[in-house]
Amino acid sequence: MVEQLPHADAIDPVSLVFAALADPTRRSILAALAQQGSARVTDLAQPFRMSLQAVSKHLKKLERAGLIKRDVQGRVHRCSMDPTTLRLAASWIEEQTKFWQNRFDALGKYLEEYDESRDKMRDEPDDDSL
Amino acid sequence: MTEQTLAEFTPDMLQLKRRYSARRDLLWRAWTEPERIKQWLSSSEWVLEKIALDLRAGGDYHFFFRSPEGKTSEVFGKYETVEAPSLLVFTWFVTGECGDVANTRVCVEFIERADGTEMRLRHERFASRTDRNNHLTGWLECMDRFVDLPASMMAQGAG
Repeated sequence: MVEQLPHADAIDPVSLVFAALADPTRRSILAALAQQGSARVTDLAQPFRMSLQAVSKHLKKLERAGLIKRDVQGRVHRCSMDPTTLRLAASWIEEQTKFWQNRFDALGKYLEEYDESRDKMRDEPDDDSL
Repeated sequence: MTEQTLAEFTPDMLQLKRRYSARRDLLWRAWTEPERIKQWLSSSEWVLEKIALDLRAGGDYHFFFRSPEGKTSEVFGKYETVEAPSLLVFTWFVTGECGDVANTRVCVEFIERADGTEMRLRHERFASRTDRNNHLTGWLECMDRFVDLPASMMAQGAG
């Protein structure tokens, strides 16, 4: 039985990226980090007039998706953006395209096995029942 | 001879077209009969060892792959549309040591041409339309901001 798998997001890095990016606050945080390079968590919270807890929740999602890195030095928490992950999210398309192109080649080779004189695939037995 | 694959894609979907000189019903059989699927869906990296499929709308399928090193991978899903010999639509979920990919959707169309068959495959990143729309919005907005990341990081002042 194939139902919607309950932990699909937990095991799919690309879905995590998309889910993280789907929220406007998180996109703004990411934009701020892209411009500043890195920032303290307390500084990130300020423009949003959000509690540190609320910002932390967003940062956790961004971190889990691999979009930001967190660095703790003493009591100071700093975040910086990890640009690799966004590029990896785009690679799903490339990988799937390559996969199907290879399989299409294999399909073509397999179809060439079709035996015209017998009107059957080469590996099919002739009908002996008559 | 196989021809060039025509490809187009958006961030969440790819579309491939290819012409084959084989008849449409043969293409259909190649995609829907387990012993035939094994012949071409296998690769040297992943051998399709076991197939179970229930070819009808709502029916499940399950492909079990093994690599030469003994790693395993599974592809499974449900058939959404089964219209022989022209349209096959199914969800596609990959799991295993090669990396997990969430529920996606594959649509394969077989179109009769004078010299054979045109096969069109569309692979959608999200099987649910709502998910896809929500995520595509987020993705496109971020693409604008972040694709040229080195440039934006070097830019002075607020953006």
